Amino acid sequence: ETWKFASEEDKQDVQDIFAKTFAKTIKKESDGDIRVKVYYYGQLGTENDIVELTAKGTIQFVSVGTGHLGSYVPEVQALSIPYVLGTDTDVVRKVLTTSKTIYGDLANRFEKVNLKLLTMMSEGEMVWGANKAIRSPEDFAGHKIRTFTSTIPVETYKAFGATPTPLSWGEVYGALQLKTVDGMVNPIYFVYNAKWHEVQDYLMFPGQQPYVSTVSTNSTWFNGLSPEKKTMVRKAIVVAEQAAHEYQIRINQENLDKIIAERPDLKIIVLNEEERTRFKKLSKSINKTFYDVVENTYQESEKAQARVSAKKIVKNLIKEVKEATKQ
Amino acid sequence: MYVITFTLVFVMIVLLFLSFPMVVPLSVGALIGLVHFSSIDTGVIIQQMVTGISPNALIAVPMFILAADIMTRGHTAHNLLGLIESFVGHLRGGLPITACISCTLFGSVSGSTQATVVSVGQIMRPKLLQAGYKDSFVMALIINASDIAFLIPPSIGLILYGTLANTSVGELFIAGIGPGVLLAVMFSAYCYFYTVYQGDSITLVKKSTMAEKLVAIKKSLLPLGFPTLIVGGIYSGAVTPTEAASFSVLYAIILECFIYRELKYKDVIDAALSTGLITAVVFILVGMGQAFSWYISFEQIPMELLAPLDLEGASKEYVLFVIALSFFVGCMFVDSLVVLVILTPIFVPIVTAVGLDPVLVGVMITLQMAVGSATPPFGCDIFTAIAIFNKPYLEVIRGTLPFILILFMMSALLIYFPEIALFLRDQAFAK
Amino acid sequence: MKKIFITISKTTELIEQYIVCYSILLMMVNSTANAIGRYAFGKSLFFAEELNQFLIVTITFVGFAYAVRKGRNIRMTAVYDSLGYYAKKVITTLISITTGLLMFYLAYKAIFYVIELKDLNRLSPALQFPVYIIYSIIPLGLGIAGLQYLIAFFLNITHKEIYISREVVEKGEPS
Ligand code: NA
Ligand code: NA
Repeated sequence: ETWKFASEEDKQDVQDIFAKTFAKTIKKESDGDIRVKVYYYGQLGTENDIVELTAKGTIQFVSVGTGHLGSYVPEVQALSIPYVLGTDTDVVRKVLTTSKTIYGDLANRFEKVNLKLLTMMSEGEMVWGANKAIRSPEDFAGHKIRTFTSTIPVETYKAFGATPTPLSWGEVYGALQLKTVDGMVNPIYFVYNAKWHEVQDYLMFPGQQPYVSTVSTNSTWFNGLSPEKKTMVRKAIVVAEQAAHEYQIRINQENLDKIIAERPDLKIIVLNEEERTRFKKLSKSINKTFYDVVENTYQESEKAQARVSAKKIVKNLIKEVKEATKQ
Repeated sequence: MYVITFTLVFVMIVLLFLSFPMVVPLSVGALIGLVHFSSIDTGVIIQQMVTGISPNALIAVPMFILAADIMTRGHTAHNLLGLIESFVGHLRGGLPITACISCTLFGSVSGSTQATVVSVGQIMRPKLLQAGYKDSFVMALIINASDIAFLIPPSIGLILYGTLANTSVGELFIAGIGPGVLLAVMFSAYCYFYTVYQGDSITLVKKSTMAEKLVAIKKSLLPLGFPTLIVGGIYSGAVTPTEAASFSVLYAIILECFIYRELKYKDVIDAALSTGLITAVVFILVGMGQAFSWYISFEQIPMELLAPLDLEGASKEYVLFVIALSFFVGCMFVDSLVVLVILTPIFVPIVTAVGLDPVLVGVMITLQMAVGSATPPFGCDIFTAIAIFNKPYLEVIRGTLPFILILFMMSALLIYFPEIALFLRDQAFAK
Repeated sequence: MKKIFITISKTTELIEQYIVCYSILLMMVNSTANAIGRYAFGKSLFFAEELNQFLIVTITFVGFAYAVRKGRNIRMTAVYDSLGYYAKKVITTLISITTGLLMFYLAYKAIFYVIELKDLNRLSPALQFPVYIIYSIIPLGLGIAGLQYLIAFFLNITHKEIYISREVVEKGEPS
């Protein structure tokens, strides 16, 4: 028996480590009866393609960021709202793996497109790159920042005072080098892998949000599995999440060290609490953007209900983050 | 595995030679694979066709096609050629060498080899034919010289490789320059000898006087705004290459419709329609090529084909040779960027294991992409030339052989003298 | 009957032409406006890239149908060109029927893909626009292309001449 697992990232990126660990665990648990083929970036097409292939059952597992999944499950973008999850490693992990909101309300939305949410993970804090220090919304004025082409990130950086500029990532290196755009936002390990540290002078840690990825499976297929196999999948997911988590922490640190070694003149700035507070305030307006985005995807008769439940998701997530922080 | 591969290649080649539209062998190849060997829903073909034509960088292609079309319909191209002729028309090989260098430069800046084939090709080809050069030589020159652009920064191929192989894009850019320039020189040398050899049939114009040159310069001041706009716009960072392509259309329209008043609205519409047709026949193949390669990577065919070659313990030269050969063969059948995405991750661990310089490997791979884009049967630049010049397939590729030989020679040189690529890099980054 | 048929063909040709040309021009306007907005006014068109993607899909599939009509599909005619009339006639007839059926099959598959996208309710990330509406152009383009090939097939079996497409007749007579 062969299962297929596709991720949106390159070999040796966090999602690929997750997929490979998952494959290894399944092989061990099934005594070699089940083989999991792992596909990485670009092999089976775009992020959208692999989500669709999983939804229709051509492949069984998919791992993509919340941004891309938002085209199918709009509610998942609650995790893309700035300063909701924060960037405390343990808090983020606790919420992403145990949250009642995520595995209750949100997971139900996945079922509508025949996906079953298995787990979520952080790939590290999203870092702003720039050619000057950015500590306040004023510093963002006239700053063209490359973002993912999606409403939530676009509105986030508008609210911060910057000019969000969507660009496909193949064009980013050249655009940063020639200053067509001034900056970008991504986790450290990815900045290093894409070599964007070669063409940026400052990296800022704003404590804003992690890059969150999701792992899902085809729901019909999963429901048809024997109880033993279901348990096997659940177990392998836990093992893989642990491995990806450890790897994420290690690779982000290692790549940060490499960036510092390769670019000794590059400045790294960690925003202090006071500076973060100003951005947090501006982020409040994004909650409303999120409700609008969700509402827009529903039929006229369902809009009001969808908005209410979107509000509930955000409210409960914030509450869960607070509780996790206290512990 | 070998049975599948053989069956696919065989069926596709038969259909190809029976002169089926190219889209048929590609889709039949994908269909046979999906239905017979994998029992997968064939709807994935449609999804992957869309994926194949979606990259934003492809937008530059129709835009440059349209700009070149408008300029050739009007005065712009004519004036630019007058300028070139007045300076190099009397020299042996002057025109084809100018075409070669124009292709290299334009390709480097625009980042699109197809756009280069169209823009430089459409403008320079009539002049070269008029001077008595054979069409097969002219088309092969344009296609191959355009592909040098893969090696010269900014190159999408090198950027993508840098990310996939975790290698400095800055270093790759610098390492690409040496082989790129050397290739341009070798192609130019070939142009010169070709002209000498074909001496009788080629007419050289009389050397123009200083006054004639000045007139030519004056006439081409506004048309020269076109390259200035593109190069200046991109290197100043004002626009991306894709946007520069769109601005060149706008500039061409303003120049021809409002300043020269040579063209009317109707002409622009005609040019747009012809652009759409050419774009469509090329892009439908790019899309179908993506669908075909989806099947190949879904079945992980490249990995299985490469498994029997014991590369981990082999010499550096042998590994580099196998990599070059794999990319060359891949690019013969599938679009080069797709091959890059599929094959690079397979080779990266081997490159590390035998201690090859990943920058050298990147340059070698990019060189093979350049060769592959101009090599039959599947070559985007061949398709573009067929579509734009409206010439049969065989006629377009007839003159390709000498260029391919030069490219092979370059590949061999790179294996034995890696300094061609690495010298500049080592100077710049002082390792 | 034949008259109605020709009217339909002429009308669809006109529609194809309009769609292709204005998509190309809109692409130019979209990209330049985005660059001007970003460079001069510090405001990007956040949907520029997405709109271009929609346009390129439209141009490719509608333009493909138009190219089939004009007999401009890319083929490798090295062997074909060296053949005599009867061989050419047989091959062209064979090509028109098989390619026509293949296009219909792909169009049929495309319809299902579009329905899938509708069921998944996939929205484009920037404009929040249902993707399936744009992609409906795919089965349409492939279907019209298939129809063109079938017309060529019927012309090939009912006439002496070699029809590459309805509008393009190859020169050459039975010898
Ligand atoms: Na280039
Ligand atoms: Na090729």
